[in-house]
Amino acid sequence: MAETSGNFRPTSPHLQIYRWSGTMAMSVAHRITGAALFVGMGLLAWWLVAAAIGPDAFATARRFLFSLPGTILVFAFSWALVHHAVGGLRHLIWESGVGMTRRNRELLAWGTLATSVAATAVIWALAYFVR
Amino acid sequence: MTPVRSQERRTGEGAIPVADRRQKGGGAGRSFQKRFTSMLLLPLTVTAIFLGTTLAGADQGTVARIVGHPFIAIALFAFVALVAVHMTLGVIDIVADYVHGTVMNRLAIAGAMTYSAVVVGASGWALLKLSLGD
Repeated sequence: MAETSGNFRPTSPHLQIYRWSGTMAMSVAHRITGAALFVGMGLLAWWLVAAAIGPDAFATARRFLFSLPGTILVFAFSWALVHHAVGGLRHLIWESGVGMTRRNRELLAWGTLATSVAATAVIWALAYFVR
Repeated sequence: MTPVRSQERRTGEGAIPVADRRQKGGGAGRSFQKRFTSMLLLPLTVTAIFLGTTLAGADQGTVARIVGHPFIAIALFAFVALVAVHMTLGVIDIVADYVHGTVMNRLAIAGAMTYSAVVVGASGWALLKLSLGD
């Protein structure tokens, strides 16, 4: 409140002033996963281009994706994609006017995390065991 | 706008969906576009994840054969193109929150649009080449 006069314009309270809630954590996670997916789409484009160029280019991409940093990136991308999709579904549910009570919005928020973690585990188990 | 009783406001029941409040031009339009693309992306994302799971570790021949199938190539291109639109809109929101200078703001948005266009162009070229069988 000290800086509301003179040349200073009032600013809204910033992140650190709020007690963390599930909806707040998932809001932050939604933005971070979204930004990560923005970058990760370059990886997907590279993989497609390598497949189109031919076996040699694809082998290079495949070698990177199977290295430790590559695997971590692909794993992070897959979780981010699932989490952002489930988070988007949660927002669509809210925007239909459903699930806005205190109990339900926290339930939906933590449900998003539980669903994305479980679904990513199932996806990787399938990818591992099916092949 | 119709008045909302305080109980409704508190519980959110009877809230007006954001999509219904859309208007041409401003921020609400972008907000609507982001939601519209997100709805189209839900089934396409499931398809893309299923494909990724199936193709994990596959060699170039297998990837070229499966991804090159016209239906799959079209679905994947729709996925990449809609993601590109959706992620550009998302980045514009992020830039609006953190990049305040007019010049830097416009540069950041132009950069995001260029990157998205490259992703769509490269993926589109690759999918076209794969589906035409070299």
